[in-house]
Amino acid sequence: MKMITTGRFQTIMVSAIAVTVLVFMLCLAIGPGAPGSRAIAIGFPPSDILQLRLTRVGAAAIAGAALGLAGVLLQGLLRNPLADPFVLGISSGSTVGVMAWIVFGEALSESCSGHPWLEELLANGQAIPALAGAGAATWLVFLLGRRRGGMLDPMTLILSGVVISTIGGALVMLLNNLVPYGARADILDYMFGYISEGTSHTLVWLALLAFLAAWAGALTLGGAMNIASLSDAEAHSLGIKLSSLRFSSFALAALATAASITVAGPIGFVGLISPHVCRGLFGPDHRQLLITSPLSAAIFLMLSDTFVRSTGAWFNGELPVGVITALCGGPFFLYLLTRRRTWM
Amino acid sequence: METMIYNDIPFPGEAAGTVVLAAQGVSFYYGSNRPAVEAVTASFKAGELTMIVGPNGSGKSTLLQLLLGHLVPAAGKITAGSTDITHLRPLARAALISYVPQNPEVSFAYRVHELVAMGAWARQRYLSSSSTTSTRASIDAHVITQVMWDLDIHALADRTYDELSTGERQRVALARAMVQDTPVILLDEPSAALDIWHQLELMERVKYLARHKHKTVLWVTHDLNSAFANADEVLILNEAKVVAHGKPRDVLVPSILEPVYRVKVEVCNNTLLFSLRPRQG
Amino acid sequence: MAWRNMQIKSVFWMLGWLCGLTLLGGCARHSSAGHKTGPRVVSTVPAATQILLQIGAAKTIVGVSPWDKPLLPQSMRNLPVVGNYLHLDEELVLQLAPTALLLQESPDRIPGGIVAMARNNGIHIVNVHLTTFHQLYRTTMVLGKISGFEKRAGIKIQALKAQLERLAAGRPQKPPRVVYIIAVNPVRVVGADNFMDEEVTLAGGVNVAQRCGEGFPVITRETLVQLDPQVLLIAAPGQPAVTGPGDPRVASWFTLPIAAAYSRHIDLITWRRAQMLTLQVGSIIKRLRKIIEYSGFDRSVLK
Repeated sequence: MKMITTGRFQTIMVSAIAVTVLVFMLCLAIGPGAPGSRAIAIGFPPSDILQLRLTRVGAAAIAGAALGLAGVLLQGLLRNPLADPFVLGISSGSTVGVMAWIVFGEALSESCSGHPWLEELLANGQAIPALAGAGAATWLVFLLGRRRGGMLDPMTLILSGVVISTIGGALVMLLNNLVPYGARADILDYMFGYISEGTSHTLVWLALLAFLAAWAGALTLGGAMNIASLSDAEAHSLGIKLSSLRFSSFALAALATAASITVAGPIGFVGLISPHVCRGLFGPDHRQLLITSPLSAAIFLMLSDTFVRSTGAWFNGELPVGVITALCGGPFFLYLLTRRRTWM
Repeated sequence: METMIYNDIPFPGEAAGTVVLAAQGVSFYYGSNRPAVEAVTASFKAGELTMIVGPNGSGKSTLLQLLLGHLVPAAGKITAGSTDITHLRPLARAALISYVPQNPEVSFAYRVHELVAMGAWARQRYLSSSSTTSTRASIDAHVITQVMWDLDIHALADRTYDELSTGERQRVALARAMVQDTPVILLDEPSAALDIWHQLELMERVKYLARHKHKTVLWVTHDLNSAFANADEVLILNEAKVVAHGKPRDVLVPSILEPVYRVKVEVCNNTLLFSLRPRQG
Repeated sequence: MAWRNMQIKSVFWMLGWLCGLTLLGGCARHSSAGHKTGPRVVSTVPAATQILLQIGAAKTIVGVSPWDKPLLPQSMRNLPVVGNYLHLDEELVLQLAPTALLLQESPDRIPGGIVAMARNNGIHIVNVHLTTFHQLYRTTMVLGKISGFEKRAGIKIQALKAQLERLAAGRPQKPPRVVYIIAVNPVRVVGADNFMDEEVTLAGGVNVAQRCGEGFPVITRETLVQLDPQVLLIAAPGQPAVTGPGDPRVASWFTLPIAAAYSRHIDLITWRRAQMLTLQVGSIIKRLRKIIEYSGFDRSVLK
């Protein structure tokens, strides 16, 4: 009888880490050719360019890994293979935050003058309002998703998320009407998600810390998450405290999503697909998924972002990275779907 | 299978006849005012197989989930030894009580061996601080293999859950409970989907666990004849209340069963025969 | 990508056609005072409204879009607001009894209901499309025709053409490389084939980002480094003027290895109408030229 042995775990883990590091290096070596040409430059870049690429590839890796982690946690928590970090209305919350920033940001900036660090953070664009919006939406969903007795209930959570998403969409439209003439409609660009070399290094480090904290926490939940895939009563009888497990999964997923939104905005699909792909390749054991899904999502997002970064000349300017994650990830996902009979 | 010793659970001792699990005036409501379980008082002894019978909706499964500690009684309390089970740590409770549901559910495509191994999780967690962890893990691996042979699912070890038939799923859930190896075992119609050979096999195995390992087994069933032939004790529930609790021959009698089940009951050759009463009017 | 680019092109002078103006639109409902003779124009395109004002046809305007309001002279701020093409208050438009309705949308995308309403009531729909100088001339002539100020429009165009010719003649021998950023998240720049590209050229610069694509392409900072502009312009309409290299809005750009950073030639374009194409484009170009030729600019870094 084959058991998931320590040996197999180690092999999967070591090779996943190795591939991630290799892809990271590869992405650093790829960039756009000279302006106007359609070539892609491959090779070790000069140090100032390398600095820019490090920020961007690093941000992509962090955002991807965080999405992959949040995807595993939420699919496990909601027992729903279609869950992803944005099903719970988190992305919609962040968009509302950014929209509110576009409308009211000027006034806010003025009131913040005199606090240099606050000024600097706010000048760094949309990360802070996005986080505030995402945080508010997450908190609301959390409050609404509890049953009597305080335990999070998967079905109530999903429904609350859908409703919060809808309300968020309405708020975005409402705020859109209040945008003064002359302000740019940055929101269009924001909603697709993008990763920038201009991301403040402080934010990148903060996102990395948040992700690592969430990851470390999540790695201790693997075994319990496996058992929580059974019915509530069975999980209970096997020694799982469902209320605290669900709270931890939710909180850690929210932290990881926050890390990703900080550096990349609401990039969809990555968090949905990477747990699926890893489940298809290595099985549903969460102890293994919690390692492979973040790493494979990081690889996927780094490659996608490197593609859009290097091919601006092909598409009359850079594509939003969400276009590539959906166009490449979608068919691959469908291939896996047809190859396996079920995706429970 | 050797039995583990747990230090901080209120393990009530293995001597047959000791009261292990007791419900005192337990009531439970599912939202509405109609009780699902009302003022149930009963005690269950080590080494006894108690079969719980009763018509549909009489509260059998609810009582089982209350005894498991998954549902919290609205009134009364459930004690294991001298401790209220709602005060037990989840891991300690998992070391004390195992449970096989009526319809096992699994959300992802786990393989059979992974599902069976989940039975050992709490024990491994519970003992993870002790120096014997690795020894324990290898013992568990041995136990898991043994149980899968015993329940005839060894050949299915690498199948995923969605590839199994209902009966096979039920045996997987049973195997997990066996691996959990607890002094108290709660079974909710475990043989409902099993073929006759597996039914008889399971009954022999459970009787062995009760008689020789002094396990306390509670078995919810609709099969009154099986209860008549195999149970040490029978608990009859009707409309959320205990109607009778005692030896099968004392409680599975026409005078008790007929009003509960609204059928005509005859005893013939140690077998209960049932027939519909002629309609009145 | 095409639909997106088209949207971006229109976004800068007509903000977000994305959704309705129910809130603002509802606030300012007026009933018009009887039907008057002569041309009556309802404009939902702020740039076109401005052009009408510039050719002296202010009195023909009877209805505007919500985005026009802050740009109108005080005396016209209480004009009825009719909404935009997606959420046009048709009832109000009919009450205003215009002879012409200005929309910014290609004919096939205008909802059929509006087309039918216009046809049944003798309203002339004008599709305003303002992307190049050539379109500015044509649009001005059309607006002159529908408002009865055709002659005035012709004179204005001639004056503008003459002004632009003078500006073209005054271009420096060695124009500096310019990149004009219109949005920073992500970095969206002025590319080829649009009036802002022409403005940069006439203002005495070379828009090196022309090579990155038409319209307003998104580029990476890496490409920006390769373009190595000597002047970096960043649009910040309505914001306060830049306070210095430490200003958080420009500080991060100074860390890039580009000539503009070494020569401290990174500027915010803060005036509100910088991204609108009207007959005042000449004065915008003059202001841009002042910034590009800023005296503090150290020409020794020009290679």
